[in-house]
Amino acid sequence: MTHTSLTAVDWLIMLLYFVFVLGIGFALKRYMKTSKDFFQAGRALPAWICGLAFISANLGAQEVIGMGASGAKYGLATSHFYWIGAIPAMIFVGIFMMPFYYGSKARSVPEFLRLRFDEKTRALNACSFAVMTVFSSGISMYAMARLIQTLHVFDSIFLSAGLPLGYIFHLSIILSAIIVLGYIFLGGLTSAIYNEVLQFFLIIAGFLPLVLIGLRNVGGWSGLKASLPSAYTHSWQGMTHANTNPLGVEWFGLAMGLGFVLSFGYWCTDFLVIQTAMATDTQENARRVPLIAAIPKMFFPFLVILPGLLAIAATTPKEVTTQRVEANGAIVHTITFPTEAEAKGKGLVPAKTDPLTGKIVLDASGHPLLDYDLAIPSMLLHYFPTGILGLGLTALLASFMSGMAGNVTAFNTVWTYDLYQSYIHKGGTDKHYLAMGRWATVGGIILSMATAYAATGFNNIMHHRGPPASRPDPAHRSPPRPPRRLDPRHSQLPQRHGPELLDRHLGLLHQLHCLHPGQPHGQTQTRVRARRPRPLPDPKTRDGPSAVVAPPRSPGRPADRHGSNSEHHLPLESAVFSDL
Amino acid sequence: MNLDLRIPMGLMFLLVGLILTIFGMVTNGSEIYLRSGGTNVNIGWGLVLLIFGAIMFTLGRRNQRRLAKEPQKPQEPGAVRRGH
Repeated sequence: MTHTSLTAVDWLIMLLYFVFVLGIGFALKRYMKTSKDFFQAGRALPAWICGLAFISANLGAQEVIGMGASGAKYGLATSHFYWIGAIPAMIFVGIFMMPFYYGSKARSVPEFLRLRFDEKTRALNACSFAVMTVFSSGISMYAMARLIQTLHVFDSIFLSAGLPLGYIFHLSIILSAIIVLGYIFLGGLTSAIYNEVLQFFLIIAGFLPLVLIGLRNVGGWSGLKASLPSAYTHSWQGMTHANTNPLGVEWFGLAMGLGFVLSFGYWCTDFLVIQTAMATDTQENARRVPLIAAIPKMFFPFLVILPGLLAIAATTPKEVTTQRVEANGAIVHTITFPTEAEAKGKGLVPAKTDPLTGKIVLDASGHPLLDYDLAIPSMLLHYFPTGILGLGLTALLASFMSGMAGNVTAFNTVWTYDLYQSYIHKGGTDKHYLAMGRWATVGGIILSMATAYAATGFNNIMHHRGPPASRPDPAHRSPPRPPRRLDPRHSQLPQRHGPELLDRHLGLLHQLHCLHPGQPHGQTQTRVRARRPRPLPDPKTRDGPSAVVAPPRSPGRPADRHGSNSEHHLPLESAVFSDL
Repeated sequence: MNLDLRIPMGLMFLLVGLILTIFGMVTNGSEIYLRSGGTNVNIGWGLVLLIFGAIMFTLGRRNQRRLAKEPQKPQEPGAVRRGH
């Protein structure tokens, strides 16, 4: 992708966001007097804040990057993840399940399971959830660092400071860890919720102008419809049979598998979102929280999926010559060459490059594979001038960090109440558990960092040789390519860290979003697929959602089904829907 | 919680909007706006965010002043609570 540098304005906006995020944490510190304040936000937050945090906890990297990628790949059918795969479950959890959760006065979902069933159910759920949520947080951290590296937006600052570009990855991980640790340590769940609401508005602020500019560029909705195949702009077309629509599902599998099994399994049981609903002040408000969240959720397809459609409908970058007359009369020609990946891509979605060979990855018929995960970042870098570009990138980073924060607060609550208090140190003082919660935050962040580094080991064997690409390795140097710009004022950034190195890491995101039900693995390259950072079920068949979920349980009491399903589905649901 | 989120959030969007608007005014007509189809998005969107931030900040302050005027609820006794 053409290397866009950030200017001082962009950095200023990013810095401002981080200052406010930490500032909110500091401002909340004095209200954290008891463990209830820290872990459950004192159960005193207003419904609108919890409602927006409910949806925002879910709006991590998976939504922002993954939905854009799915939109570029499958078209508007991706909206089913919202309108079928979220709204019904959110309404259900608000109306029917929140009375159970809130009324039981349980402090976490595992504790609710103990009240409803028994201690061993709680232990199983707590252990599996704690592990899963720390992994989620780590993968968010990793994905953010990789994305920053791929976009090359920090390159100019690092080069001017004389630091090797390989340090960008480490700096991203450490910086995000410090910031999230800072505001969670100080303000607990309240801080996490407040920052999630901030992130919600920031995502709208960052993406709405992108959609508006992109739509205008392509000629409005009718222009978009004209430039894409009709399967892209219809969500129900061809749903009677799996072969006639891009998602590869049919309506029954979609409605039952996604709309019932998968979505209920996530929205009704994942403590990451439930903790925000349980933080509100009354039971009536607790029931309203998911309903409040469902309203913006209905409109989010236009914010996250539409950019993916716009990316694929845009014109593919070509060589561009611009001519400028300088003040002294000199005529300057600037010829901008798109990179090979951009030129061989479709629209603004670049082609996938193999990080080891630097070549474009081809599918069986010889066409280049597309790197859909880069659809939304590509759009941001292409359409946003400096200034608002800082805002767009801040929104992107905010979504990753907010996902991490939600996971870390869920971890420290489950660890302190369900593991530490129940098995290790019963009957301690409240102050003791409050201190434990703070240390659990530190522990959670350290484990997340460990997961993030473990993920690098799985996805790129180059890291076994040392710091990522910090020294030239002849085997990995990309073949000489035409200079990007002939204008000597534009710096030539080293080609070592081009997309060929980093695209591989975003393959992780691609794999994770490909594991949404019904998405065939047709286009993932085998080499990347063979290396997974965590054991995820491999949908070997292409039958759609029913292939991915466990077989349906025998009908029992409604509470039974939800309770016993929750700990079974929790790791699976989190694998598919977990907040990245 | 006594901290109304609308105050810091409104303040942040106010500042971001201000920065974008000023930057947009300074760079009006520059070639950087070729990418966004010629429109000066910085001014336009900066103003939108400025207004949004101002509204949020005002609502937050008004709520805070209203709560400050109400009679204070009796403080919980300072005894430590054991976990349940």
